Amino acid sequence: MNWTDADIVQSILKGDEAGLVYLYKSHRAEFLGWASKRFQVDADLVSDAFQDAIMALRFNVVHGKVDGISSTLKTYLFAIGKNQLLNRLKKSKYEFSAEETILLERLVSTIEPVQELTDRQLKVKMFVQQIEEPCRSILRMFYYLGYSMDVIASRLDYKSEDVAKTIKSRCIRKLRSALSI
Amino acid sequence: MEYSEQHMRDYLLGKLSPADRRKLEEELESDPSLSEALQLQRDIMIGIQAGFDDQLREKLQQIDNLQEKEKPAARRILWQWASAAAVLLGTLGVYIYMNQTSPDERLFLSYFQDYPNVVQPVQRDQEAPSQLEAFTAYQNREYEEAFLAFTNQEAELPEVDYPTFYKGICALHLDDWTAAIEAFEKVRAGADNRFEEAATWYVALAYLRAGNRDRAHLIFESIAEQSGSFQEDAKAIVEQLQ
Repeated sequence: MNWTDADIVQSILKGDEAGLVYLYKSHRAEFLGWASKRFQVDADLVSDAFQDAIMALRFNVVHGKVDGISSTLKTYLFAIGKNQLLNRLKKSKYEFSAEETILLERLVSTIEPVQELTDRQLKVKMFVQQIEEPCRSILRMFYYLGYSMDVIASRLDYKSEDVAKTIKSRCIRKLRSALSI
Repeated sequence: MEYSEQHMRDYLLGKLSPADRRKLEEELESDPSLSEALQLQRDIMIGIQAGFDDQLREKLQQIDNLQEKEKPAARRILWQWASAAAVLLGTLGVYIYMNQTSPDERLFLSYFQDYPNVVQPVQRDQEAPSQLEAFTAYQNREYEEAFLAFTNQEAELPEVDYPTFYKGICALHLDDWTAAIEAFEKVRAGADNRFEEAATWYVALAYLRAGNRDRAHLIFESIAEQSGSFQEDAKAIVEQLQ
């Protein structure tokens, strides 16, 4: 199946992973090829940067930050990928040659610093790894997909938004307890 | 005022209206408990994001591992060896590789050749660096780099088909039959018909290599029926496919 950009966006908005997987599989080799020709770096680092780009693209799609962009998703993905690669290279104390520096200055418009997770954020992340239904779905929809409570109620077949809110409150209590708050 | 988690989440994501945002920010200055609640929401949001991102990352990693396993190691080594041998020993290396492949692959390899650069020499004076970069990489057989450069040119020059056409050739070198087929079909459907005949030939080769023998056969037959640069080769392939 050949996905269009619109198909991929719809899939991401629905919370499916298929569109992202398709995007990833379609362009990973090309990105790795591009990067390995330009930078003397480990393939794993480039691969990680490309995965970072997929995550960032997902976030931006879900939160409406790509609405109205004129480029294709692929171009957008590569632009993010280049930024992510630069972030990782800087973090790894990679020494740029003069030629690479010039290339990067041309490629990268803005560089977002990589933020480390705080202890509390790490605990939340651990909580996600053990979370069970229905909290998994409800928290994923609320925080990861940015859905409103009425949409969540409808997607999860709850009788009303209030039912969804009550269940979400229970989930947040469990989370707070895991955070010892 | 007590804000809902949804309201705070939307604030953190920059989704509130300017008026709502200002209101919340004014309260933030005077209400430490709101600031605390907002910080908790931020941590939950970032932590949950990181948790689910990790799960997605694991899935992508599994895909990479699976794809790596799917490339038979022996064939990979043989291909690397055969490629090197072909350079050093000419036909001997090709002969060894050809004996490890299926009939359709052999047919493809017998007929697949680079298409010459017929664009750059005539447009040299007008070309931007990105165009030079694409053809330089292409002529240096750096096909991944050329693929990306031609892909970028596609967007820059939508009125011409040559970037898509050469991108298709690069995709054939990169074993990306899907991308190759997509590119050549796009050229065939395009208005710029300078590359239509060649694109038809290459798309048939791409279908053959991708395992779509029937589609390839049909296209080779149509090429064989009309006079053109690829007619004789197409006739020979049609005979071998029967």
